[in-house]
Amino acid sequence: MHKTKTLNRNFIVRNMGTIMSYLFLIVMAIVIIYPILLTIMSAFNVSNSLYSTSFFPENFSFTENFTYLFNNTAYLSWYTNTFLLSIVTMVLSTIIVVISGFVYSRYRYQSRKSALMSLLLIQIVPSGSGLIALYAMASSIGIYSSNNTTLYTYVFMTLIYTAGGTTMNTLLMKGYYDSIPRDLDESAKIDGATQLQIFTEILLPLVKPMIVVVAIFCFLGPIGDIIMPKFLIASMSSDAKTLAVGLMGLINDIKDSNYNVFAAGAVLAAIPPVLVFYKFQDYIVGGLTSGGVKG
Amino acid sequence: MSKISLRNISKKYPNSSNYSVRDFNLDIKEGEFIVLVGPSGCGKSTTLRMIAGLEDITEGEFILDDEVVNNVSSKDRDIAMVFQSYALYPHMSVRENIGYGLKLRNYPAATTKKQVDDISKDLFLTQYLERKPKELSGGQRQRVALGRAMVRTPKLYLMDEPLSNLDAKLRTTTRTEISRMHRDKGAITIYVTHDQVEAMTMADRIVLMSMGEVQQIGTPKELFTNPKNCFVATFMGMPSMNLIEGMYQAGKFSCHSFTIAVSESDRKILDDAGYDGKLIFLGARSSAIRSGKKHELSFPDSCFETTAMNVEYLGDSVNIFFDAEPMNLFVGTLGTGERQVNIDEKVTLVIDNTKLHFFDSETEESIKYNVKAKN
Repeated sequence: MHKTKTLNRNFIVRNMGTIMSYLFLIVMAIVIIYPILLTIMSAFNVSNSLYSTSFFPENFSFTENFTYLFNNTAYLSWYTNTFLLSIVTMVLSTIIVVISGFVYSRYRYQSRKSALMSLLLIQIVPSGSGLIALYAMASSIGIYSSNNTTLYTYVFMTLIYTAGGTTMNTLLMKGYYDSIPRDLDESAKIDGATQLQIFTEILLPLVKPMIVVVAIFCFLGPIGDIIMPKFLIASMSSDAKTLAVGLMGLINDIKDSNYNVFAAGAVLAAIPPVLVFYKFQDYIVGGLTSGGVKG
Repeated sequence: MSKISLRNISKKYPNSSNYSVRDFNLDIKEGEFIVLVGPSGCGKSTTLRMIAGLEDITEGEFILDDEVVNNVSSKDRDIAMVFQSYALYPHMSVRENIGYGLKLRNYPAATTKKQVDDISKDLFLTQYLERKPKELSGGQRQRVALGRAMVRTPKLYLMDEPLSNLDAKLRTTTRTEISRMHRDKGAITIYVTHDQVEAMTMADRIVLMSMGEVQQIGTPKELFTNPKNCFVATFMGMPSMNLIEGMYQAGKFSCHSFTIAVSESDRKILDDAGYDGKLIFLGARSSAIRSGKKHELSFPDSCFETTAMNVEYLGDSVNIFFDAEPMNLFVGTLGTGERQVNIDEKVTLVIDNTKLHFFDSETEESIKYNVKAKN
């Protein structure tokens, strides 16, 4: 008796795995893409009520929502505030992370283990839980009673975002440094390099992908955050707001909300992050997936 | 030209209770090629890394040109090293990789370029100079690593298993390459390997280590023909030396499988050392085990009959494995001129009793070592 295994003739049964995967991917794509499309469409729709908003613009206008944004709100000021805040945060935290990751990865000292552990522990506390304390701190060091409240608040926020951006990213960065064989350091040492030269000439070029990833994370952090700026700049003039807070103001009031202008603002706000992602997509994928630097 | 002394060097890692290297003593003359060899974990790489300055020396002195350099950092010791993983800088081209050490030492760009060009010509790398390491094959990477060391003229070359990632054929050619470069440069080379063939073929002197301790230091010939103890005897040579425990009495050595007469000179040594009537280890290299009428006539007192367990055909010779009770496996290597042996066949073997080694059964030290070393 020979038992021959026959190929299952049924196409669907045979390719069940592939079909299920594609089905899942299609559903996920719709879930992600639909809201984005909806936002873009509403940005070009002139209408005053959320309920009348349909997917395809009824009163199509290229510019009207955007003109409103620039003429009737302090949008440009929000925009500069936010991206200035983001860029400064990005530069500061990236510098700190690049150095601290190196130290955690390459040096052995007494408090190393406990320092690493505390970095992890800090992650456990949700950042929102410290808001009241932050407000209290800001007010106790006299930010709100100073002459230049806006500037000092932004400096304060930059420091907080920078500190917030360093914890998780330091661990990420350390992991990436760890993936670079120590043989390279040793080889450079024997070639005659100083510690600083090993860091700048050997390791920095090799961790570039992760530097880009960390920089992008730090750049995006402040753009999306709404809770902290809302707390800290609640009482200030419209000019002092960040994008998220400012845009939120447009739809806060149920009677006087303008969803289409909000959408227009959101679309404009999304442009820099999208460009950054587009430009560095190879680094982002490469940096996150592989530690693959082979000697 | 420079010379090196290692005095009572020991290494103990902070979180370990044992010494990784204990009491390592070695004087290296000008231009010597020293090979540190031993099984993995024997401390040979640790010793090399201490010489390189990559590990701290726990105890002892490392003297380079009459100067204790224990606390001198690697970059000031004037050494070059080839790593097992090659450790090429992935973001630099081959040219930059080879020239990096010169650049750091502030050589003029023109000199650097010329030296890199010269060395890459020697190593057949000229056409790859602008490539990145990842675009090279294993053998080419290895040559870049060699080039990076050879481009300078340091006091000391260190090599940490540089051939272990190459295939067998490439290994043989690169071995020759390294020996040739050592002769050209004339600087001291310390070479670490676990492969006794590399050690035998390249070394001026071999340092054989085990468990962090030096077992024997000597020329390849000394280690092969006059091993100091059982470990050295079995480590050097392929297949490794046969060792079997048995009783020595009145000029005869007898174990479970056979009884043979020892040679007159050996008998004198053993009797003088007071081993008559004691248990000893007999060591016989596979090349000392023969078969055939001619040999039976030459050594009539050292023949025995046994059964072949396995046969390994090697082209110009054949390894034959015999069961030697209670648990030892005996290997004999027969040349092409000798008789064919099949598996499970009964065969009469002859042990060439002029080539035997004897070891104390407790200390495992060679009984003949001191006598031979004197001659």
